[in-house]
Amino acid sequence: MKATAPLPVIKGMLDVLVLRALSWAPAHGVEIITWLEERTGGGLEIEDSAVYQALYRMEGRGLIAADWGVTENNRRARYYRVTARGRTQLAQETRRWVRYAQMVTALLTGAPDASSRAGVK
Amino acid sequence: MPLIRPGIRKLLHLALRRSDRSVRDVDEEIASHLALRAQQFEARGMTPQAARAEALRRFGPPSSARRHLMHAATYRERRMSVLEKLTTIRHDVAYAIRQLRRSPGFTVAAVALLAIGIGANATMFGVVDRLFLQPPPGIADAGRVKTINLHHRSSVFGEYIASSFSYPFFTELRSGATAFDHLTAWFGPRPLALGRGTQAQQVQGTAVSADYFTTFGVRPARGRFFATNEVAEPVGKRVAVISYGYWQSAFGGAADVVGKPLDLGGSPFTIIGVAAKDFSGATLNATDVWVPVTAAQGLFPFIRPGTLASRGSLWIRIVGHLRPGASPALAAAQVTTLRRADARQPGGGGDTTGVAVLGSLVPGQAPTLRPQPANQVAKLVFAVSILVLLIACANLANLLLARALRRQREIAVRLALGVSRARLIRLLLAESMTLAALGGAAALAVAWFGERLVSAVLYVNRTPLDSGVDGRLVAFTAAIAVVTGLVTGLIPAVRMSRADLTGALKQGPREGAQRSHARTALLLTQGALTALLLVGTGLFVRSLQQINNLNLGFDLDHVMYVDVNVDGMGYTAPERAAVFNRLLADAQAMPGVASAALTVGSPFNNSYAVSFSIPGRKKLPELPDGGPYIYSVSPSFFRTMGTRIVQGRDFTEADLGDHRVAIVNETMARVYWPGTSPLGQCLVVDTAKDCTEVVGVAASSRRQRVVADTTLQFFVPITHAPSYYADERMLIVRSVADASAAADAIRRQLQRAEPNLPYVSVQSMAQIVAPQLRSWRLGARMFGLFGVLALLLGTLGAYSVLSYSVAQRTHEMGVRMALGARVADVVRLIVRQALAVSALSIVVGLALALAGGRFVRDLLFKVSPHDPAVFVGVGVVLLLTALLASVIPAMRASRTDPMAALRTE
Repeated sequence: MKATAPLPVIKGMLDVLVLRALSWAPAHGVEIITWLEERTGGGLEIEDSAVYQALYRMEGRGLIAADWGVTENNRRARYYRVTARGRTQLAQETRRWVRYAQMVTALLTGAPDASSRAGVK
Repeated sequence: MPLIRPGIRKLLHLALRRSDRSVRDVDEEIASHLALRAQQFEARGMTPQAARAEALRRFGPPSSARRHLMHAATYRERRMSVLEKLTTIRHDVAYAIRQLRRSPGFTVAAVALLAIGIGANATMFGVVDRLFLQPPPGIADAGRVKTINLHHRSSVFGEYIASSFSYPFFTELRSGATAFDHLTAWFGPRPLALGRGTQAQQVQGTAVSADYFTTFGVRPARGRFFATNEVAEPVGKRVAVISYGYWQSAFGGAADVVGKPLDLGGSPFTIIGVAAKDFSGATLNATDVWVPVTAAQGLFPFIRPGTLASRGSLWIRIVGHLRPGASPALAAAQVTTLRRADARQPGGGGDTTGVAVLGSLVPGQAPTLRPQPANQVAKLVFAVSILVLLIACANLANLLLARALRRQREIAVRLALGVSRARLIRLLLAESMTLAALGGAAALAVAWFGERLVSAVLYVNRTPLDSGVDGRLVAFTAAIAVVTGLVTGLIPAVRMSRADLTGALKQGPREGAQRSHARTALLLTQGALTALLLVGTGLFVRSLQQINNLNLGFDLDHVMYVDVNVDGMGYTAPERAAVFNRLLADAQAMPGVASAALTVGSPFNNSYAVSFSIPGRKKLPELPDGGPYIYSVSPSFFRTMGTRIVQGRDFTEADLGDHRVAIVNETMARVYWPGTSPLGQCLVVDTAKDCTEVVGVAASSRRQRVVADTTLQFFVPITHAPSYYADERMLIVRSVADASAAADAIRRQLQRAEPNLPYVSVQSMAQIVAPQLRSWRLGARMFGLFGVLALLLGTLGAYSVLSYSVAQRTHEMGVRMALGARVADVVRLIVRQALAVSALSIVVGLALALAGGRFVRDLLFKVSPHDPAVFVGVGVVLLLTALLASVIPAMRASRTDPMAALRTE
């Protein structure tokens, strides 16, 4: 695998990313996908239909709500927005992810600590 | 960004079925996505065909992408429809709460009605559950633990079920009944003396065989249970296990309780363990202290030297745990066979008709040939509590209906605005369900107190360790509350949703001529049930009067029995006699004691038969109860008991000498010497060769039973007591004040005067007779309570419903008065209508009571279930109540200003 090839999304992360995409303003599916592509420079490997699956899943859980609307070019599209519950969820998941990432990063990149190894001996 | 509000979306889609809509939505969204995406790629410079292909490729594999999306959409719809329903319910309940807060008086009344109705039920369910549905707490695998009973069909004693056995029979079962893997025997719980002198107290003790705790699957909370060698025959070790409750109350739950000494019945015991928290014995009467049955001699008056080895002493109860795989039938067959062998042994009684019956540990399911009064009362009162609930329901439904009628215009407006009838019913139901939920919660509080109260009345000796409010009770209460909410809410809801729209909008909130049949029916039901309950109450009150007027032939209120068990002290016969002589002297010297006497044999305690003859008479007449029974008494006996001497004279100190004299009771005088005076007649008693001269006749008193018990009795001075009974002395004390109140003070004084004696039991006569009167008293109390509740509910209900309906008929009254009706006419009209409904309901209720009389016959004391005084009384009381409940609203209606009433149009 080449280093530049798009990375698959970690299980469960797509929902959080989509919530983040919706956190500024309501958007339809293509707008969400475009935002994800632009912000990652195409670095994540996401099928378009997977985004819709995430949207439906979260709509069922009451994290987002949807309504049919009309785009700037007069096309019908389903617009999604984050509910109050969704905002709480996003904040919570973000905190969790940051903690998790910091820990994993520290473990993988930190130098072996002499004092703690001494305890093992 | 243009958005359509969610509410509108719902409106637009309401006509479609959810699943169809969902499929169409998804397909539409896919199409919209592909178009937008292609547009995006085109804008980046692709050809229309290439852009379209790229959009499709990015979307995902054509075979599965759509399917996965459909799947996700279905999940979404299912979740959302649940959420939507919950939201609707929340809105309905919020609406109901707003409505209820607007009329706090109505809400409080309705919740109180339900709290009483449901609370009464929950309370009785708690009792019934404990009694009929569940084994005593703390027993593992209770379904396979069986009590052993024998069903006899004896030619001598008739048909009966025996649950008491000899200890030798138990040891034979233990080795021979292989279908059980654990078998145990016990005796008790019985009062057990603990400590000495002023420290002495009484606890509930049970003597048990080895394997007792194993059979019930109980674990120790502290220490250990009896080891085999501690319970070994013939004499076990003086060790004791205490209950968790006793550990807490007497030792404050001290951790070092194991190893502490206990002075039981004058002998030293050592505590070796504490039983698990929830276990307090295999019966509803809780045990405080368990001791090995082989070490219990002297602790309980019954267990004497030789009792353990005697095949003729039937005193222990036996239970066994069935071996895995063994059937109850096999176990019963083994017990039957062993009992046949036992019966043929010397002292075994010879009755081989016994057939083993394995019983359940559930108290109310014990095998019996006759219904047990306490169980019958519990069942009856449960039925009665359901009646109370029905009355409360009828009341509440009526109130809700009246309330709905008042809101007719509001409801019509809602219907006109397009609110569906189903939704309207839901709104009205939400109100009754909210009320029911509040009522149910209040009912749990009622049950919390009620259960303690009722079980204290039903089971005198049960220590209420747990509150009685458990998961089962909460579930039951919730179920009852839901049913109540549905039933009471549906009637008005369905009625109102059928309301005539235009009529209601035009007329406004009043009932007019179309008076509700539903409401009359509810009033009738409630009235009839109230009448039925009140008849029950009346009958039981009459029964209680009969009990209180009971003449037993002695004074029930001022007499008490004083006894002390000195078996454990190793006294000789003269030493024992000395103890009682000292107690007599102590008692006589006490303030508050009117007189005291010693006796061998006493009513409701023990009586002795003796060989007896009258010179010159070959055959003496016999009474079914046997006898004559001899009582050996000190001279002040009759004065102390309050028994009258009706002929001749009382005993004097001089009678304690050699000249033998006797006093016979009236029954004996009548049966042995009909038509002549017994005075001066000669009796030959026991082994004496001389005549015993009859010097007096005493009023007959009951021997053992409060009903129908006439017995041949005679009395001799205590110095002439038959030698083999002479040890069984007891002290009788007559107090100046009421005996029940004085008993405790007298016990403390005696205990102080005799610091070396174990617990001195002082029981008032009333206390001794009470168990026999308990079921009757019980019925009277419970029925009295529920009858008053019913009357209260009935009156309040009738009053509130009438005042509601009168308020709604203000217009009609105004018209009547405008047309020339006088105040008296209006009052008469309303009162007449109320009385008509009431009279009809009373007739129905009394008819029901006549038909149902046989269910309470056994529980009534010398009162016929068809007692005319009660029936007439109930009729009069209820009519007066109806009059009272209708006059006040009627007076209010008559004060209607005709002009004001007409102007409100």
